[in-house]
This record gives sequence, structure tokens and C-alpha cells, in this order.
Amino acid sequence: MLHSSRASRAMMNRPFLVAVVDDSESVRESLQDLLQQSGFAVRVFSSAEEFLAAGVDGTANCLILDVGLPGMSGPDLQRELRRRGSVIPIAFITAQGDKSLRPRLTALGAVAVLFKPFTDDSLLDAVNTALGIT
Amino acid sequence: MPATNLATTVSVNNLHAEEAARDSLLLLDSIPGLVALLSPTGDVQFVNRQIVEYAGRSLEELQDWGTNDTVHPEDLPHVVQVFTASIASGSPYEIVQRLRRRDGVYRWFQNNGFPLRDPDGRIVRWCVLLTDIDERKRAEDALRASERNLKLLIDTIPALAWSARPDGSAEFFSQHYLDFTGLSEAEAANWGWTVAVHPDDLHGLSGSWRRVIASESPGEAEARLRRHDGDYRWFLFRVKPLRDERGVVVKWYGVNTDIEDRKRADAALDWARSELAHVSRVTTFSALTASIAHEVNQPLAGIITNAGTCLRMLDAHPPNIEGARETARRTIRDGNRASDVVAHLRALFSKREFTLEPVDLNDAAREVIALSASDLSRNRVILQEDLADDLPTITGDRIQLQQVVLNLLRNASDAMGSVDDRPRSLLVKTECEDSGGVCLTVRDAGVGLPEDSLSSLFDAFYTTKAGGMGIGLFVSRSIVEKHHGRLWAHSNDAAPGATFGFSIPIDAGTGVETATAQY
Repeated sequence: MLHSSRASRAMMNRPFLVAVVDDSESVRESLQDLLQQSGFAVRVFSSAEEFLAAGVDGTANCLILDVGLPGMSGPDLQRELRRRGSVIPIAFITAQGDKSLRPRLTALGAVAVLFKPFTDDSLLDAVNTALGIT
Repeated sequence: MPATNLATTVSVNNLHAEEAARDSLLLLDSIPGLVALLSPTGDVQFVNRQIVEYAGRSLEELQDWGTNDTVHPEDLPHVVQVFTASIASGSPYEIVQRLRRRDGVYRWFQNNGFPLRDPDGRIVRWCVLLTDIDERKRAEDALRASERNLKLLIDTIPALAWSARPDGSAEFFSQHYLDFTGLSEAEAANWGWTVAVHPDDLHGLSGSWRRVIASESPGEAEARLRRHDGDYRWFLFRVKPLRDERGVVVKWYGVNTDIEDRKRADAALDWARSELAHVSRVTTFSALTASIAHEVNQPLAGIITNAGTCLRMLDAHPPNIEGARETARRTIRDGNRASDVVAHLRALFSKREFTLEPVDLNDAAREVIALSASDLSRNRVILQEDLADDLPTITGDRIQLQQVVLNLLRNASDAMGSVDDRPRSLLVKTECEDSGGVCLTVRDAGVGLPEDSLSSLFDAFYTTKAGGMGIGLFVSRSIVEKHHGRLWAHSNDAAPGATFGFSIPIDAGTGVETATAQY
């Protein structure tokens, strides 16, 4: 569990930037609050296209990515990022109940796959894993 | 010329008697009938001219009538029996028999024999009068045969036929009627047949019957009749008046037809329709389960995350009260969102009566689009809306119309499931019709419609999808038609895919008010 003291330490150097891509407003707002409260810098996007257009794929340290997005899907974005040579760690989140998603997405290189609704703890654990923080 | 011979047993005493006798014979020859005179023991003594001319036989030959073919062989035994008994008893007789004409043809005669007695009461002579009743008899026989045929016809018709007097009391029942009810003719006659009418229907039927009698016009009514085994079955009672040459009703003819099976079929059909609609919705529901869970999981995710964040904020040093308040507020908002989704979906898929209300088709369509958004986006469908600004409000069942829109969206999305070389674009458009109605179309860029499918597209169980039940369009068409509208489909012009659409007239409400089917 990430304590505020550790977050403060991270912030003193340079806060990790977490990008969140999800088409649901409820999810975007709540994740932004949680991540900011935990000391991360956060950028939220409502679509994969918006994320790519923002050009942060080089600077973000971690990507929390919704699977079912309008237009380009989460896995599509992952493929596109890999094609561009990006190695940004990705934690997938999804509202679909299909449990077979996890092995499939993990096989594609996902760091974590979380099913909504997930706890704040599990989300932060995934981020820490992605950032290599233990 | 009188060709008669006087029997020798007639004794003539004097000239006057002889003259009198000759006068008698002349008289007998003048009577336009066949007359014979017999001895008290039954021997033929005299036959008049008519008999001789008719039979073409002499007196001697006619005297042998008991053994020759003067009397028809089939009638002879009976005639002999009656005649002999009569001679013995002295009582007059009357026989109907056939007599041979000189050309060999037999004709029917009424044979009346009566004794002539002297003042002392002794029989001195028998007088036999034969009247040609051949035409009358043949007519009677024909009538009887005709009546038999008619009765056979009436009794063979698979219906309960009956007739009644002008006052409504029953006079005749066909065998079927009696067999069905198990009543005898006597029991059913006049008003007795009413015991077989279902108690709940008797009042209505009596009223209808009274009205028909008063109107003197054909009429009909439905009621249940009790079968001989106690089971009640629905019948259609139809009746027509028979009038005489003055136009007065002299009889009523009626036919009752068993409509029990038809009534049951109607009820079954209604039930099947509502079940079909329900199954259609349930099938749609199960196909959209992922989408529904998806819809609810989004606000739920927000709630869970916000709650966790709220606790963290309160745990912080110093506590982030403002932040906590904000997360709590968002939690409530997301909770309401989740509740709305559930309520709306519940309403969409519950079994309910057809209800009329003002419907803004644009609003209704937008809701369905929002509901299907994640499903569509998961299928990479790019949805565009072109909803008319000035779309008038129509009267109809909002939920059912939404079901139609949902069905069309799903089909459009499915049609593009294998499309990869072009955008999976879907256009939902509403517009006003010139006739004043509203029209909604769903245009896809999918695989299009097979050439020969247009006529069967809306049939029950038509489907091109493996595992599809093929009832979506069938039910959709039922719903649209219930709104007095039209549902159609056509391939797109010079572009891939198809367009499905429906139009609803503005005043659909007035005609639809009496709908009773449950959907």
C-alpha cells in the first residue's frame, strides 16, 4: 500500500505521470482523484485517439487503459504504441465480465488486468507494479 | 258403346226392373270413375266401361283379379287380405293399390269397397269404386323422398341446424343438434333447448334472440352450449327469417357452428404473441447482458474508487476535507447513475400491457443509442445521429418503440460484424413525413440484404445469424403495425449495406386505444 509519505518523497523529485484513458466520466474523475491523492501526476483522456494526439506517450510513466473504447480499442492502442516503439507499462481496466480477457491481455504484455469495480488498493498496487515500486 | 255383360246372378223379374237395371248400368258407365259390382261373396259381377277401357280386359279376365296381374304383384297379398276380411266382416274397406293399365303400366288407385244392404240388413251387393290417385301418389312419394333427402342433408351438415316459429320458440332440431346436447326432440322443443346454454351466456343470448325477432332481420350471436358429456363449447348462432308472399316472417332458420377451436386458437395466438414478444426481449436482453453489466460497472467503479479515495483523503495529514466532500458527492452521483440504468433496463424488459403516451421519438431513440453505445463501440461501430429538430410528438407505447429501435440497431451492428475494409458506419435518422407522421431509419454499411430475402425478412423465425432466433424483426413489425405504421427495408443505393426504417402516423393513438394484447 502506498502511503502519503512515500508519495511526498516521489513528489519532491518528480512525480510519476500516470495517464488514464477511459470513456466513462465516472471512472476518469474517480481515478484522477485517487491517483492525485496518492501523489501521482495524472492526465485523463476519453479516447485512444485523444491520448495519441496529446503526445504524452513518451512522457507518461504508466498507462491505465480501458479495454472497450469507442473507435480505437484499448488493445488496439497497445498494439499501436508497441508499433511506435513505446515500452510504457500498461494496466488494463475493463467493465466487461469476461474473465478470459486476463490471460489474453497479459499475453500481449499487460502488466495487470483489473475488472470494474476494483478497489483503490488493487488499482494502486497495479500502478506500483507498473512503475516498479514495491 | 257399353261393352258390359250382365252377370247372371242379377235376376230380372219384370220389364221395369230390366229397364231400371239398364238405366243403372248406363249411369254406372257415365260415372267418371272405375266402378265394379260384386256379389255378397265378393265375386265380380259387373265392371263399368271405364274399368274395361282402363284395364283393356274382359269381365272374365277381371274376375280373376285375385290370381292374375290386374293388381300389382307387390300389392296383391295385402289387397287380398284386406278384401277377404272385409267381405267376411261386412265392413267397408279402403286400400291404396296399383292397377294394371291396358299398356302394362301400373297406376295407383284408391280402392273403396262398401256393401249395399237390403232393408233387412243383408248384404246384397258390394260396390267397388276405384279412383286414380297416381299423380297425387307420385307427388306424395316425391315429396316424401325429397323430405328424406332434406332431412339427410340437414342431419349430415356438420352444424347444429334448427328452426323456430315466428315467436322464437324452437320447432325443429337436426340430429346433430340433438346428439350434441343429448336432448330429445321433446326436451329441446319450444324453449327447452335453453337448458344447454351456459348460465353466463344465457342472458346475453336471450337478449340477442329477442332483438333479432323484433328486427325480423338475420342476426348472429355467440354463446356456449353444453355437450352431452357436460363440456361447454363456444358456438356461433346464426339465424335467418323465412317470409311468406306478404313479407310476414313465418319461420326462423338457424345454424349453430362450433367455434370453440377457433376461440382457443385465438386465445393461444394472443398468448403466443405476447410470449414471443417477451422471448424476443429476453433474447435481446441476454445478448446485451455484457452491455448491461458494462453500463452498470462504470458508475460502480466510480463509486468504489471514490469511496476509497474519500477514506484516504480523510486519513491524510492534514485531512483533505474538501476533496473528501467532492468524492462523496461524486459517489452519490454515480450511485444514481447506476440506479437509473437498472430502472430503465428493467422497464424495457418487463412484461406489461400496451400503454399509450406522447412519445418524442428523438428522445426515445437517444436513450436507446446511449444504452447501446458501449455495445456498438465494442463492435467498432461508428454511430451518427441525424435527428430532425421539428419532429412532432406521436402517441404510442414508448418502451415498445424503443424495442424496435434497439432491434434495428443490433441488426445493423451485426450486419457489419465482418466488415473490415470500410468504416462500420451507422446512421440513425429521424424525419417528418409529408403525411404528418414520423419516420426513423437505421442505415448501415454492412453486408446488405440478399436479393430474395425482402419478402421473408419480417417473417417469424427468419434469421441469417447462427444461433439467432429470428424473431426480432417479426416482433418489431408487429409493434409498428400496432401503431398503424410501416416497417420496411431496402438495400442502399450505390453503397454497401442496408437501411431499415419505420414510420408511425401522428394519429396512431386513436386507433390503437382498443388494443388488448399483452406485450
